[in-house]
Amino acid sequence: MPSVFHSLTSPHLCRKKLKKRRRNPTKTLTLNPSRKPPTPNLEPQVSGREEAEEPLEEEEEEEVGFKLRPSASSRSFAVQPLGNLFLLDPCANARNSGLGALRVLSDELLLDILGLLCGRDVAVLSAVSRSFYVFAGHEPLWKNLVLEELKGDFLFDGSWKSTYVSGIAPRSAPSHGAAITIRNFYSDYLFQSWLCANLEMKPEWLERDNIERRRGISVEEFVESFEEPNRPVLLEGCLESWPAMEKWTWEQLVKVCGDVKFAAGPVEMTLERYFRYADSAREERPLYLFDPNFAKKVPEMGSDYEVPVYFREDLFSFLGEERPDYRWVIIGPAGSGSSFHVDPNSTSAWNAVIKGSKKWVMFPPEIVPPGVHPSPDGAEVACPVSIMEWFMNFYGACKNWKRRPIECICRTGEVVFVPNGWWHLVINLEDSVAITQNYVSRRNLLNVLDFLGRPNASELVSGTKDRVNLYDKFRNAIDAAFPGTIDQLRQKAHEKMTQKKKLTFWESVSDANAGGFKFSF
Amino acid sequence: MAEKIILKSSDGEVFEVEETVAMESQTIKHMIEDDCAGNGIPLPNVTSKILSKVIEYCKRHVEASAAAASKYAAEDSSSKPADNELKAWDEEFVRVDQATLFDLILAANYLNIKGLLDLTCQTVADMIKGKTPEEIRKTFNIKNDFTPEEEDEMKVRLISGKSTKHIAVVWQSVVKATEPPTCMRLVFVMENGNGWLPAVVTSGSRASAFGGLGEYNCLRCCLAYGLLR
Repeated sequence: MPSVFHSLTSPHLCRKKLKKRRRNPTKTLTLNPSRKPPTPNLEPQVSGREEAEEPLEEEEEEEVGFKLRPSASSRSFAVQPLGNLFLLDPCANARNSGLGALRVLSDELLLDILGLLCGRDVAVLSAVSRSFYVFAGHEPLWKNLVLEELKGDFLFDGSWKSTYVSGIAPRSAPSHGAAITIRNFYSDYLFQSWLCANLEMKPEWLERDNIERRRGISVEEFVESFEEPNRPVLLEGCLESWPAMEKWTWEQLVKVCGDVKFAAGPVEMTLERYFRYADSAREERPLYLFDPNFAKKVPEMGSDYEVPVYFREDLFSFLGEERPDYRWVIIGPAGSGSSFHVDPNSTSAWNAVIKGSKKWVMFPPEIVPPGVHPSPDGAEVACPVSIMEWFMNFYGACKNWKRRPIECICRTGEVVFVPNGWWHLVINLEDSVAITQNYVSRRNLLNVLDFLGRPNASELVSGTKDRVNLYDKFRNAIDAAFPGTIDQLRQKAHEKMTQKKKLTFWESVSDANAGGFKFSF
Repeated sequence: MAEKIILKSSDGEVFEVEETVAMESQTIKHMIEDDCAGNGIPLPNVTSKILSKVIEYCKRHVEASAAAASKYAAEDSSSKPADNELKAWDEEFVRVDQATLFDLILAANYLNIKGLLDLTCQTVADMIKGKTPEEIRKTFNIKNDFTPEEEDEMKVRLISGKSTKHIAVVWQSVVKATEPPTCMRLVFVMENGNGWLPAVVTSGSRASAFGGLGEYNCLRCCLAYGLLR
């Protein structure tokens, strides 16, 4: 169920004010990317309609409505949300009349069924009725077809549908710009999908920047102030010596990497093809290039950077070749990113932006972000489909919390330290290239051992094919390299726990002495 | 003694099922685990007619799993005939009228029964596969609500061919002509994706009757012209 409209059904997301419905009786609404943002209502493309009811998303009086990306203007058909239908006769919805007996199925179920069809059959459907024209034009369907049939060898052609067409039938007539303009098609599910793909980040989502920033601190200070207490920090000036800062432009990377394929979602692609895709893709969840073997595939890339001095203690390295995946190159267009997750194996991480910028939202381990629902064992996490959706529906929920999330924008040349166990969400604000590594130091060694030693390690441990035995291997490796360390650390931790208890006791005593206590005789 | 769970359909009928059968539904499983099953589980979205079918499905599949499990324990690898039997049973199970089929999809979705949902969705997909738009319309009683202008405007279409031999994908572009003969240029792609055969065929119909001519007829014209082997 599209969650923009959850606000009508989710009382726990309390809003300060009731939603207001605005009437624009004489306004003819068109999608014009250059016009000022509309009044506080969502206003999708509605060519030819006189009225558009928008009983939707509105948080505060003064708040400006959502702004759409410039590329969103040229849609040949416009799906409208069901709210628009509210004051019209339900029969005005072309959806139902065009589905026949299938109208009883929900949009998601219908799309599930369409997902079982091959490209030819989906295309045939688009000629059945206007309703099916809309359903069959749903980009995620074509995306799956492209990725299944062409794998990473596709040449993106502006949309997934035209990519499929030109990929499967390369010399056919060009299919740019579907010629049909569909009006009066109302569907929350399809509208939501389109909206999330075409929204721009609201400025107020990017405003807050409350992370601590440091430049040129010593390793000891980093460990004491941030790693030990498990707090995030943004470090400046660590990347100045990296050749990658100069070398890793998209053009140069294509030259250096040539035909090497990198992991992007479910497929592997050459950089040239990936950049071609990233340049014109407009979708809810863009393909994100995230490759854990880049240094093996292109050794030159491995030598274009070095681990910042703060993170050089890397205990998984004692596993040698058997260590889990630990370093990734991350490349993606604006809008790509990772929705809320906790890094695997209880490791800590650092993320360095070589080009571009990223918006970060982080919650400490004990606070689950709003809208995110991990299963009791942590193996599965349910969360909104896209990052944009999370911002639209849940970012505002933590505005009034006492303990706010840590947020920042990490720009070129900066590094974010993500302490182990912290929830984090990242979205690229522009085309970005970054490197991230996960690591284990003595500060989080015990956590990692505990994590690996859990009974359900086979589900939770990630980045390695040998999940169950990783605990034993790692334990043995550490004992061999640093005999006695583990026990020392456990001892220290135990002392700390008892220390804490002691303090509490003394605190309570001194409080009593400070004046609250009175003998009453 | 197996635990029994009470299920209540939307029209008030009461069904008593074994717990293992009821737990095929993830929705019901979670309710049982959360201890909400005490006085019976009301299912306001499912009628008795559909619920009885759903229960029938779950029973059969629980039996099948149990049989497979005991075979596995007995290290008996002769599961093939049983698999085929189950498949045949499934195929027969979904041989119902459309309204029932769609109700089963909705129920399987609501009750979160993956196997049933997959089976029913695939059944509908199979009803669409390989058909022309007109055939699909007939199957589901869909009205063709394109205006003639819109049909004219659809300059490129991907249609399936009924050729017995080669055509898997046919691209068609309509060349509008104001007077006969009206031409349609058809671009063919051979099934394995190699090569293409351009062809110009005189259809004898007007361009605006694009929909009326039908894709099937276009291909028959081509066959008549010997363009397809």
